[in-house]
Amino acid sequence: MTRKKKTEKKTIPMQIDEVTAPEYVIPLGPFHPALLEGEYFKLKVEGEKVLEVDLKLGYNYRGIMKLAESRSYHQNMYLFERVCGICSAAHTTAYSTTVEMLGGIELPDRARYIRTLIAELERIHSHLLWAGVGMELIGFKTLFMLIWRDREHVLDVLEAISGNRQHYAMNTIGGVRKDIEKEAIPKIEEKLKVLHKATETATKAVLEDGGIRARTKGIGTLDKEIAKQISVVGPVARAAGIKIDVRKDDPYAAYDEIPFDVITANDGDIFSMALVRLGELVESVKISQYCLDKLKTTGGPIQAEVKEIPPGEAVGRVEAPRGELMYYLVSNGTNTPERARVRTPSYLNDYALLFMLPGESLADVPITVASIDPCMACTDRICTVVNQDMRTQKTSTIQELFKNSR
Amino acid sequence: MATLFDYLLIITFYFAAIGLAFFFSWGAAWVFRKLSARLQARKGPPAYQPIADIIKLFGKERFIPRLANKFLYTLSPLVALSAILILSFMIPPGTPFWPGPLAFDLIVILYFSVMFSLAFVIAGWASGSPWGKIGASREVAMILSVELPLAIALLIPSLALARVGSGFSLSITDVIAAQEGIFIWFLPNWFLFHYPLASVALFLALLTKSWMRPFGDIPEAEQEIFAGPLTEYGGPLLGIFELARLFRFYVFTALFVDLYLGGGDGLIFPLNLLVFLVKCLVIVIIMTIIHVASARYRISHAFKWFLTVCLAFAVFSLIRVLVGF
Amino acid sequence: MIDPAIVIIVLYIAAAFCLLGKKIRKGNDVVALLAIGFALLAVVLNYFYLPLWISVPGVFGFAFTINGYTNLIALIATFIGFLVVVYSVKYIEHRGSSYSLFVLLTIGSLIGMAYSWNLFWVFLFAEVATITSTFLIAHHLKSPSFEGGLKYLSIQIFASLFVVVGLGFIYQEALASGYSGIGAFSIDFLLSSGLLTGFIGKFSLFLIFLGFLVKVPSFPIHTWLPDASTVAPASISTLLHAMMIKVAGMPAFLILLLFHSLFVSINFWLVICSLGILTMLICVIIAFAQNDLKRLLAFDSVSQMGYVILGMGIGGLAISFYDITTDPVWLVVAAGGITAGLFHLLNHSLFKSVLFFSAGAIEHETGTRDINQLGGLLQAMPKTGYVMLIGSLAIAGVPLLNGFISKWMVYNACISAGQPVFALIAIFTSALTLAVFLRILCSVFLGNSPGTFEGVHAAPRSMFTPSLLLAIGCILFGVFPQIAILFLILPATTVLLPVAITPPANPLFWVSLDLFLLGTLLIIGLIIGYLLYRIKWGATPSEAEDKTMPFTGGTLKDPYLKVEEARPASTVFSYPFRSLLNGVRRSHTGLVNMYILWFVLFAVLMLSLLIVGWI
Repeated sequence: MTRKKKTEKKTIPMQIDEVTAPEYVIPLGPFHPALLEGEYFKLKVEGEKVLEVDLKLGYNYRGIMKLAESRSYHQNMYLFERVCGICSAAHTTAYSTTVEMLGGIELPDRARYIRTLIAELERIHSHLLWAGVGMELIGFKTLFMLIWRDREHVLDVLEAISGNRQHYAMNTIGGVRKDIEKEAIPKIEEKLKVLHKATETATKAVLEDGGIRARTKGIGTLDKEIAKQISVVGPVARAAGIKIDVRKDDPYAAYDEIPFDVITANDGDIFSMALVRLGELVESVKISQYCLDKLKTTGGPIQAEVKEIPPGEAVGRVEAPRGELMYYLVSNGTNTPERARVRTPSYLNDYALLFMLPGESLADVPITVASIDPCMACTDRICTVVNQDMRTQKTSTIQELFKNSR
Repeated sequence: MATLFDYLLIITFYFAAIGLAFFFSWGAAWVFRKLSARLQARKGPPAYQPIADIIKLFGKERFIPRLANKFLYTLSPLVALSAILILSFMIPPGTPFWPGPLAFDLIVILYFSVMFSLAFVIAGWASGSPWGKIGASREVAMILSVELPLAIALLIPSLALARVGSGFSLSITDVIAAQEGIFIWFLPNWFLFHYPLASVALFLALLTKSWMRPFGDIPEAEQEIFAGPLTEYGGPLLGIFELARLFRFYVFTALFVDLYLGGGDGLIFPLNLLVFLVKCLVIVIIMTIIHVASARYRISHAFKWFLTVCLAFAVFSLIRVLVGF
Repeated sequence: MIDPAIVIIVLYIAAAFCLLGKKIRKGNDVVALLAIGFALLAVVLNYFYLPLWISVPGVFGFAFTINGYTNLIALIATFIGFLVVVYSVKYIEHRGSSYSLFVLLTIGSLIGMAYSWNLFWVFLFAEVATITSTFLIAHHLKSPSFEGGLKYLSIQIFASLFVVVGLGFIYQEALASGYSGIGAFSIDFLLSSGLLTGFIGKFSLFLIFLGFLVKVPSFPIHTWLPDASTVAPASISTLLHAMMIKVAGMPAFLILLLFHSLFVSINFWLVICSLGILTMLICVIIAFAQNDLKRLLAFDSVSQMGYVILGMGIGGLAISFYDITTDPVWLVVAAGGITAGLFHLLNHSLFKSVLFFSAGAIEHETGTRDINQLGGLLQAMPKTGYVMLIGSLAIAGVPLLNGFISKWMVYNACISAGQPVFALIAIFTSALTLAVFLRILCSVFLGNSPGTFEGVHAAPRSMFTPSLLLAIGCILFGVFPQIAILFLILPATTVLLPVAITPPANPLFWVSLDLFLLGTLLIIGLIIGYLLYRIKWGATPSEAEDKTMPFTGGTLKDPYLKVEEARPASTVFSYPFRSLLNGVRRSHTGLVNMYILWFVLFAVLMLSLLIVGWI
């Protein structure tokens, strides 16, 4: 009572109102021009300033991990190829690496180089795609068009090697399915030079254009400590100054012998994420060149002999374009895996958005969301069932879905 | 008071101006789309595409969203069209002999350009979509940021008339008439050369008014807020909005050409129209190049830019006009 | 003509009747309506200078004059007063006799003030109106109403001190020259006798000017108006904004313009114009931040008075600095400035009454004035909504409504007087006003309903009709401003000008702004658009009611999308101005001591400038 009186005395009713914008909620998604796949951000906004973010995933659930349990190891190769359209080679590399660990299979040298080459070409394609999308989201349509034009070169290379622009189907357990012919290598090298030049142009544009700087510098900053706590991976972590890269830390394929730098930046904002990805493009071109040089000299088979997979479990890690991709397989000795678990990089990186978005303007939400390069096709593991009549909602975990499906 | 004959004459000119503006805008829109496509390494649309897009919209179903206010939802595209048609009549095609500005002046032109934007604001709020409302509030912010530099830069030529010796007049035709002749050496007597900074300010403001990047498309930023105020629109009403927006290629470039580039340079009839249209097309091409070569800024950037740099340009020229150096 | 004294006495007697009929509410209404109806009739009759002369014996000593200027001011006062009384019938529900009593007393005093041509009587009626209106402001008898009323009263009385001192100086001068009595304050006498000369005359008139400037109100002393009109009932806010500040504020400019021979410094008039500019710009920026509907309107009112001050200042500049008797160009500028100012005054009382009446109706129906809590009222109260739409667009200066014309005239006056900077800032202010009113319109009438106003229905007819009448006036004066200018404004301008002017062939003085043509073209454009919309081009229209939901990625029935939660509130508009506004906010402490201090500082500054001889 007394306290209330005090406050009453302090407030003067005839003051000018404080300048506040009331808070309200804006639904961003599940369908929004800025989001390429279904995800839903519930943004609590004051004016155009984002205060709180709630993230809902699960609009793209396909039950791939359950499917994998009913298919043989070789069939699963085609299934995991289709987890994600953009990083299909990373998924198959991770899957085959894990199976090879289970079965104790040694890769032939030529297969290692080809695998590395495909992985790096895919990284180039993915990062260029990201750069294009990022430019489009800050309204720079021209650079989007130009970057995607340059991306066609790497897709041409991949098509020349594998026959497909996406879903290369190059990896198989114990090696690769197709060899690269000697005559094709100079053509690929030519294209790599073009790509190198395109990368330099894009880097120059990002570094010099005032508009891009204004829209990305200091936006969506992820603190290094927070980044460590929520264990982000890939370029997002490297942009925040955490030097992690599976290719260096836990080498697979041919990475143990290839010299390359891990690109890092310090600020953790979108600008540094862009710089990290653009720097990685240059490194990827170098690695690809190294692989091509080796392929010129190295001969031998491209596939190892695959025997039965003994019971056991294994974890394989791969640096996908978006970060660390982890596969966990349990074998029971039959030709189908007992359990397959996929942990994709976007699954970790998505939650960084909850720390990156608050405080930003609504205009910066699309580019901030895109800055972690989210890939929902990889990520979705939870499905929300909405009861139309009761207006209630229920979140089903994977276990419940298993139960329902049985 | 004007007689009935005067009114009939003016209405005839009104329709003539609409026709000219429509066909020029069609061509300019095609140039805009083709040029930006070529600059973006695309092929670009055929010449009939700008108008085909609009005709397609008129062939679609008419509907009104459930949350919308029916009257204002239907009225605001009509107001937008009407305002821009009047604007395209008030801004003469490069000739000082034009009946429109006898009855109106530059301040009326300024107010009608605001009225044109106002229609979008009302449309955004009347449509009942949250994205429309955000777009509308951005549109208001754009009006506020552009208004002051735009007003100063619009009035500078007419204020400078007193210095040129024609006496006080806010009429745009007097501004056109004052720009005939030679400035120095071989430069024509355009206000562009008299007040270059003000012309830059006006150019940027008009660039923004005509939805060109770096600032112009903030209210309808596709990647952020769908289509801004027009998110809920579709069918014939969207077609009317698009038709009104098509006229921006004529109205805002013609305003710049008339005020700062000497209009038709005082030539005889078919020549002055030709010269005028070529100048307009050049402005459209410059605008297109700027549009293509820039990213979209945030609304706070636009505020800062217009109320510091752009305003400084305009105010500097204004001081020059008032003090006379 | 009917002697204004009769009008005033009738109003006062009617007020006394209201006191008697304490128990019969309807009786009060009838008496008040009859009295104010008679007053309106009398004022309108006075407008035509009928030869019929009804007058009271001179024993009362009133010094009324009927000329163009007093007619205009009295007409504004009576007409708005009439509408206020009509509006109050349904609006003021719990009232004793005191409401009608004080309303009639206030209106009577204001009519007396409008007709008085004697500084003493002007002052006396102003004091009566101030005191009676204080009771009206505190009508709700709650703590904030008392606070608002007391603030109003203390600032007004403090301002009256300046007038008293000024009058004292004048009387001293008169005594020294051998004149005495109230007649010494007669404006005609002061003008013809040449009593006021030199510094003392200038000083005393300037003191009176400062005293009345508070009632206009101008920038550093504007704070009483929003505070008072927020707590007052909407009808009283209308009375304050549409009549009080005009009738009680105009004497400030009346004496400046009539005694222009004392104020010949160009700096003086530039200071007046700058006051107008500051008033309009700062107050409109403050209006941005307001969440209270009436408070927002009040700050905007102050801002609109800036246009009036600017117009008057330009007129004075032209009158006193240039020789308008020989130079027809400057005569046109002087006449234009004053006409613009007076026309904006008239227009402002039209559209601000519309807005306050509508705001009152909204408060009456929904019980709240918070802009952020209101929403979607156009569905529930369509008539009020469209009327308020017209009022808002008029005040924002949208072409073909009356606000546009008067603002356009102010700009033209400024530019042709060689002060385009004033015009440019005024144009910017106009854009800001548009944003402020879009905020109201969008948030209160468009937008989604927050769901708490299910039972809201349209306002009663007696609360809607006055605003409808005024809105029609807005459109009428917007398309045919000649009517207002030729019949209402020009006679008033003639009084304020030192030389007689003939009405120019074109009533808008400069380049012809042919509004009829503009309207025709606008309607042609609308018809073109409507034809394009209605012509059967392709698919047949369907009644797509439930099918078409807002495009947010789903339908309304999907609960997780929460479209109804997505209510972007109106303050998005003010967001970019936040830092600027917070600065202004800190200076408005809400303490009446501070406000009086401001006034004192302002007065000291102005007087010292005057004493130094700079203005």
